[in-house]
Amino acid sequence: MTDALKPRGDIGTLMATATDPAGAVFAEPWEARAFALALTLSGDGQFSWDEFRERLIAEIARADAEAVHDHGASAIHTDHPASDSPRGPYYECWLATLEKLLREKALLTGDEIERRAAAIAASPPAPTKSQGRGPIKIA
Amino acid sequence: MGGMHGFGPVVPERDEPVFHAEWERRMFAIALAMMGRRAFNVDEFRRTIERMPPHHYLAATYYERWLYALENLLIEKGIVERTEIDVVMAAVRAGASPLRAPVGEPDRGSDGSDSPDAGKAQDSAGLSEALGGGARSLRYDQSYHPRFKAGDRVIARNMNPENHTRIPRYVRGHHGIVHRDWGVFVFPDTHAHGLGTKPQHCYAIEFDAHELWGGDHPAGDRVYVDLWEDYLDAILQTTAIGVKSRNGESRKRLAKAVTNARPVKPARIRAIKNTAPKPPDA
Amino acid sequence: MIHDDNHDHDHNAPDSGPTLRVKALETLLIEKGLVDPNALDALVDTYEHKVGPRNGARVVARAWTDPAFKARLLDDAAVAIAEIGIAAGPQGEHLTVLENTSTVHNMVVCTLCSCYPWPVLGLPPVWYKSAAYRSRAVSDPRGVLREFGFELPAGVELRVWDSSAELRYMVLPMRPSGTEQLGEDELGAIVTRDSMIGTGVVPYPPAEPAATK
Repeated sequence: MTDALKPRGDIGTLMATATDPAGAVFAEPWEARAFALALTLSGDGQFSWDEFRERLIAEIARADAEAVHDHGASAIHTDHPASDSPRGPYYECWLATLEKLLREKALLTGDEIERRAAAIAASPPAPTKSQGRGPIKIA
Repeated sequence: MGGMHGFGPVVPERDEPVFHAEWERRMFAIALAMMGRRAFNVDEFRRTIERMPPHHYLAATYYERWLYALENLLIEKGIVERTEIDVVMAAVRAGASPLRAPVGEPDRGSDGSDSPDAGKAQDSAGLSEALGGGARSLRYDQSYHPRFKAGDRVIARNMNPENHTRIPRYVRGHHGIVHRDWGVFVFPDTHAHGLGTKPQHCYAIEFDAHELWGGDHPAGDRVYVDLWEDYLDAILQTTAIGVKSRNGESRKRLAKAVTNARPVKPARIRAIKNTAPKPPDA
Repeated sequence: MIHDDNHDHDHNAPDSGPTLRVKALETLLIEKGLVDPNALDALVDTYEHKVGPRNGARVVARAWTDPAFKARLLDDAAVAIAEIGIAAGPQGEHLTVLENTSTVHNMVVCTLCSCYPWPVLGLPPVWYKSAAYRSRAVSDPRGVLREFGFELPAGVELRVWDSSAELRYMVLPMRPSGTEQLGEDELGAIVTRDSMIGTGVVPYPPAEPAATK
């Protein structure tokens, strides 16, 4: 890309921070799993996609408002460097939406999620094996 | 086509074709069953076969001609639409079983590379999704009468953001023109909260960039937003109603004519509007 | 591929907050029989490797070379893409294709979240989901295009489409001049993802290896 065509400005910054010019689909393995969980559960009818999207929109609005509150109106125009990460809080919003819905639908309780998260944090990680070429797994 | 064995009557005759594959047996059975149900009769069936393009006819086997007739009659009779068959065929060709459709997969050979469990993943997508599920048939359902049509002037209501998340803030209270009626859709404001589907028309509303943002946007720049009918009010066309000078009477006529009118609030100047910092020169 | 490198991170390091959370959700749901781990794997694989802008590029190349297909595409895209073997699937049931011309340039955004035509473009890039794009695509689209290195002439009408409802939009970019001798496959190879979102046009000769999978 010639210099004249290089994206500039805040959106250019975002593009430049992507590690892969084509754009990695999932920046972190947990994003991939959270994505798949939401789609699978919705496809199976545990909740409608309308329900998921509705709450996702609300989470994103909340994240936008927080960014403005913390860093001023320019935050949401420039994705202020102090915000979560160059890639923004999108999948954090997704995860929050997923967890909210699971609890709302009484598929999981807040308690058991906390207990499981604590248990995983406390236990030593399993000896690693090569991930090989399979799809991203974290569990 | 003289001298051909041709179609013949439904009752098997002495030179009844041999079934070479199971699908041919099924085809025979399906065709008979449909004729039994009066979906079509044997004359229509035969005439449809005769309408096959000659090169297609000659290249086709006996039951391939039946398949042609069956498919075309089902479509002509309005029992299925050609597009429904096309979509299913795309899914099947891409390696799906009849009950599973890969998500957006391009055409590839049926080399069975998907493990049986991978097919399960696609259950989430499923054939119903491939066809758009009930969503597509709802969309074209004629029983929901649209309140607006292309060209109508409308105003996007100022609505409580807590309960109406699909009407973006930047259009609330602004005027626009109906660009297109997309058809009938489930209303998420109710559906997402277990309050029913409340199907209604959804429209692409055309907003002038200058009307939304002021400033120096080139004339002709537009923003199109898809809005459900419940988000919209008609804009009163005073000339069309012919409001005259007698205030009392004309006010009553206005009130009667526009049942959904809300007082038009002037657009608030939003804090974020036009405060975008200029991008730094790279 | 970058992802394999990411997998080799230090497994002795504590899991990040979100990783821990997702592990907790996933293991619980699997134990309760609410999700099938193979289904999860297959979905991840699908959106990582199987569904991406290459699909859209094929649609564009076909539309450029087959006027009758283009007409069908503009009339009912969800059905037209089935002709070339792309099933509509999630986020594709109500696909609409917007044609760029010499007088109209289309650009797509979802200001509310991140709605995007998955079957033809895969999952959206990071910048598409950013607050910056979501707010400025509608309020300052020409400025956004400039940041993508593209100056839209003043005489060209800019139409920004906010996917606020169920419609999902893909832009049919203009065929660049000088491509008359290219076949359909070659044309598909030069179509960029950004040109199908509307934040750019198809460069020819290609500016870099086409940023599609």
